[in-house]
Amino acid sequence: MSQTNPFPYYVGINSLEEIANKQTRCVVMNILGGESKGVTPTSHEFSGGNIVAGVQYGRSGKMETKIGDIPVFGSIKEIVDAGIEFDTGVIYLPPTAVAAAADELIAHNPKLTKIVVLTEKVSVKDSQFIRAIAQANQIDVFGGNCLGIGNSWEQVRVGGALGGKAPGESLVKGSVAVYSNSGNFSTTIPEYLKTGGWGTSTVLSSGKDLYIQFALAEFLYAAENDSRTKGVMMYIEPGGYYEKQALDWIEEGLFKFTKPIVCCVTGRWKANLSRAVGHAGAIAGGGDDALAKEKWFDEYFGIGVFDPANPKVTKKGVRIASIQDAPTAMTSIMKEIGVEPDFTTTGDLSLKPWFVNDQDVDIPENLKMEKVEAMAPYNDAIKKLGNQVGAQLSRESMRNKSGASMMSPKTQITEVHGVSVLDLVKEHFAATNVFALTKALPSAEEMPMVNAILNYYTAVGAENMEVAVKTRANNALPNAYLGAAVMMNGDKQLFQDYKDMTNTLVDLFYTQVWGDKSVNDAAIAKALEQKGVMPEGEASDQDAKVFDFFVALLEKNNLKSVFTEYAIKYAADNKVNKLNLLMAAMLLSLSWKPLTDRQIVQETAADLGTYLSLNGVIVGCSAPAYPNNAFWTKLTSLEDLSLLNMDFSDVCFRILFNREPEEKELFALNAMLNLTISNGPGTVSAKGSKESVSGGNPIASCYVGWMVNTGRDHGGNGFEAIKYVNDNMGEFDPYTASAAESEAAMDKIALAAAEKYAALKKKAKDEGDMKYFKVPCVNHPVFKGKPINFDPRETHIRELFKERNEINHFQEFYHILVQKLYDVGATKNVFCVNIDAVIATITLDLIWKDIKSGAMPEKDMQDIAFTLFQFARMVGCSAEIADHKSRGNPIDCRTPASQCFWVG
Amino acid sequence: MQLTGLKYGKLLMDMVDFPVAKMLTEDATKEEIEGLMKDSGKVVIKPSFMGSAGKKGKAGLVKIASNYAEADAARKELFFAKYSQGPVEHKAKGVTFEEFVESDAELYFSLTTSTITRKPVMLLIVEGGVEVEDLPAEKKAIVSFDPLVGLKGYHVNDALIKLGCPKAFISPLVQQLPKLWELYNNYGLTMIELNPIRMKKGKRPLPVACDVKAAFDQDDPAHTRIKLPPEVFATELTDFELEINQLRTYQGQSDVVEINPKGTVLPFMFGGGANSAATEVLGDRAIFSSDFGGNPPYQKMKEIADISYRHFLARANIVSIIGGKANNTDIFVTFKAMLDALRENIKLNPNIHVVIGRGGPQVVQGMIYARDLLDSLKIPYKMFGFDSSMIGVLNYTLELDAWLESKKK
Repeated sequence: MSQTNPFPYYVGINSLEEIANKQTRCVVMNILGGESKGVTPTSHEFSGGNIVAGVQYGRSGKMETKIGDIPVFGSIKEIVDAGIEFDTGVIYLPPTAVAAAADELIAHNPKLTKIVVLTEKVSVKDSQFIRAIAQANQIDVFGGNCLGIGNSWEQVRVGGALGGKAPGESLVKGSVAVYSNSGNFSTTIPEYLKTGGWGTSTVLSSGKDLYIQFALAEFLYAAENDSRTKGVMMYIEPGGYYEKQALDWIEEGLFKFTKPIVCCVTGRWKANLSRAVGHAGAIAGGGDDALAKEKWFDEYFGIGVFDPANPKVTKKGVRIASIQDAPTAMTSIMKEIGVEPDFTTTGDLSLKPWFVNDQDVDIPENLKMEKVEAMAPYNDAIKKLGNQVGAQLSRESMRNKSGASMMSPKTQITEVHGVSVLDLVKEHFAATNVFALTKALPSAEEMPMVNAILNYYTAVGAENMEVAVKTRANNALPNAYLGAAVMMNGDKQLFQDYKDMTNTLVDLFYTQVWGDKSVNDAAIAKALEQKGVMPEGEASDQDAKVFDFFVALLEKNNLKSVFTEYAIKYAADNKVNKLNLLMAAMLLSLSWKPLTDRQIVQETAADLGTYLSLNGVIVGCSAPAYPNNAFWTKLTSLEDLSLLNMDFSDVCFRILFNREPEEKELFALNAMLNLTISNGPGTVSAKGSKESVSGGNPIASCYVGWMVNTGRDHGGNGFEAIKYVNDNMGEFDPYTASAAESEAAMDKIALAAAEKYAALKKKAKDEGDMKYFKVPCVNHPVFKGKPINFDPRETHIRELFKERNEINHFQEFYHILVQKLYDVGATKNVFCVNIDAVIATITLDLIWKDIKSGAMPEKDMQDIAFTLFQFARMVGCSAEIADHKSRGNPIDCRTPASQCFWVG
Repeated sequence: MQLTGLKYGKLLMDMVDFPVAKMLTEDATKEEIEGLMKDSGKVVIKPSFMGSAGKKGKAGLVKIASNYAEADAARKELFFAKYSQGPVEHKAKGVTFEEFVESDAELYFSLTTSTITRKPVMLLIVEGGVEVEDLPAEKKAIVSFDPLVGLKGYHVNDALIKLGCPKAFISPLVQQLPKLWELYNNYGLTMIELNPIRMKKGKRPLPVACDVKAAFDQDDPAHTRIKLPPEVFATELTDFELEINQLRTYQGQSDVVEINPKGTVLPFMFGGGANSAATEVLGDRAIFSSDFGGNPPYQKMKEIADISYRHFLARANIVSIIGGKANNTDIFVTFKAMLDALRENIKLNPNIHVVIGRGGPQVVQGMIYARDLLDSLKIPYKMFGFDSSMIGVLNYTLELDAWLESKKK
């Protein structure tokens, strides 16, 4: 193309229409990259299919759009070789690849006339190179950091995301050409102009790099030659002489420009920042701050800044102080030259808050505002979405990620929902069962209800005992026989009913009560107007008895909520299993605050009954000596419902140990369970649960996912430590000895154990055997290297015992042992006693009496240690399952083939 | 990213073997300093500033000593020298002792980019220590050249002839000055200025750089080849900026400038236009100026918000979220990130107010999320769509801030 314009450098565009129109044919480079993937289909669909191909290095294929696929090639050369013709290259590559891409476009496509660079932060050197090669080859370049070019008349968008997902909203046909240094303002300004009745012809996001490749002079020249354009709106930021050059050239007559301009310059504040040094800037760009630019324009217009209260303009235009004055100024100027607005105004820019809440803060009258209905279509969206309940989470690959737990890299202490397990230690185990799912600990007042619910689920969960017994008889470990019991539950009707009931309760009440769950007769009466909304069913006599128990419990403890009252009244007049409905109502009461505070998704609230039921199955089927366990028999018969009022950890204890606990034992068990609910999402148990979710399983199967991922080496290994301490104790019983005797004996036992280990270690090393026996539960990869080392988690528990004037003799034994190991030279420093020792020594403490009396066979001892781990992890893994279900993508736990290795 | 002076400027000159005055740092011994004075009997003492400190000479901060006692006294005087350049106060950290290059002639040389020609440009003057801007055109040679060709000897030669440079100097300058293009072009510079270059007397005059100023392109990794110690640029950033900058990627999303750490509006600005407009309107009430546009992912936005709250939430009256109608930025994702981080830090300031002005993809979802979360925290809020003027929202923010500030008193 021969150049017909007067510029001292190459400019191919002579009218704005030529930049982007229905004839423009684009190729997008890095078309399948993150940014383009979101933007390109919208551009293509909006423009009626202007993208003829894309490049993705190392790949080929297609990009799907609603109006047909865009073919994807591995290079520009492949596109040209395929006979696909295009005139515009759009570059979405990272900055260091942009210059090479421009070169590639120019080298391979002789028909290329334009390049649009979307990428920001391209280096000055690369921009300089792009300019040089584009000039040499007669190509127009737009950008870098160009957010796109829009032709409102032909409804075409080239390049970036200008106008967002709905470009037609902003690109409305009209008579104003827009030139903006800011990408965002290239959308915002057309929106503002619309309020004054002004549409647009062409909108260009120029970018604001040091090199503006298609600058103001070129734009104005093309605007003059564009019959659609009657006026120009521009947004300018400090830096560069582009505007001065354009205005000077007009004044000097290098090219003719007769149309009015409304110009907004911002960025005076930037002059206060540290400036470029030396004189070089003065030659190349110094004196180009916002104030200087304002002056250039004011001199060109022959008038000062626009005053909306007293709108004075010239035919050349006017400068405005902020873009909110754009519609008024444009109207004033167009009036001056006799041009009518393009359409009737579409509102104004006055303050219209869509959402307001002063939260009872006594704000002065002049600052108070009333909510204003949003413009269409946003008002409908607010109505539709405003009533959604619960957290709205984005779906993403959750492999190796968790929104439920994390191991703090600094402390190595696990946090669940942002709470350290150390802080959970003192909470009731029943409370953490709920917390894992709702992210909120139940209040002390709610605990009677929480305990009763879990105890009830334990009682009915025991109905799967037969399966567990059969599986155990086949030498299965506790994870397997309890898993078999859990698996029996599938996705049974009860679970589906809980879900339906909860969702219906949410629908009935959310827009009536919002976050307030207190009894509300009017809301209940209104909800009761709808009959037959709950799944049909019938309560058995047993169910009815339990229903009455819970109604009384709610009454007695003042725990009635709008949901429980509704459930009771609904059940009186409708065919429904009233116990199931009341359970769903109680569970929703527990999750209502976190749900309405958007802490959890509605699905988790609806599944709360399922999760806690499965926890009940695990506890209910875990009694090793169940035929002789009178407590288990009594609880599971549900004859004496007062048992449901017990603390849940007490119930766990009695089922597992078949005896009444001492108060300190109960504390120790509760503490240990809470301490071990999770060790972060990287543990194989957590991964098992997540992988099962990603496979698309119901919750019971996901439970089995984590359960089968535990085993002899994960959860079952606590027994090794128990056995080690027990064997070393020999005949000595610290619980029957005096303090002095105990001190002497422990010292002796620890020394003997240390010496034995030192000898073993020396022998093994002499023989070159590195797989020799290691003392369990000492040392830690992080808490090491000091003269004396401590695991802060173990220290925390030890101090808790001390505060309560209690002592775990076995834990104290470990502290003597690590000192002795150092004394005899078996270790380089005093190793820490680690968190596993806490689990082992608490367990040993709990079973000690039964071991000494011979009441507990070794198999039971092993099973109990492993079962305690199952109790704890059912809590942590329920949190992982709920989290993964609410955030993850299907099959997101798969490992890509590229990351799998064959080892022959 | 800028540097001034020979302390680090010498490293640049050495990269391309450009002759540079001998230089010692503040820990130089008496013997070393006297060694430096051996030829000329004089030594130049300058304070060392980090970053962009210019015009030291005019501020009276360059001393010339004729003996060690004078040099030592100058060291003490200049070691912690301070001076202001516009609103910026520079503080010295040490001094340099520089060779006094005896010369009959001084030159000014710079290379940078011209936005007029959109090409690299050389500026050459056969005078030193002058106000370049005030010089008449005939005393300056401004030469734009093709970057694909680079600065060649003939560019320099033509310019020197035009300026009437003494002939004896032309050949050494033609030989040495093009080396500076290699430096500029290969090491990520956006400006190099030698002022003055002194023509060292000798059998053949030798151009010697006696002061160096340079600016680097943050977006060009080539500057890291020079291996400048990090402290050269470190003082240009505040702790807050430094922490945010660690999240910087080419997609922007984390550009901040601390405006007033004692301000009371904590503003999250989205987009270059909003950044410019909001910073201007909020003035020194804004704690920082920011541009978090470019569709930052959740994790990054949350980290940015978390850092901002940790530094400034306690003293702020208002958290402001301001931007136009976004093209590409997911409003739900960014709002969720900023508000989730607010919830986690709310203990720092439970009395905070929130004012939002925004439009774009998923704006309704984002505002509903904000509404519910702020309701649960009992934080007062107002949220405006893009049908309200952004400037109006900012002005409202200022009025609310003024009232909240007056309540404190």
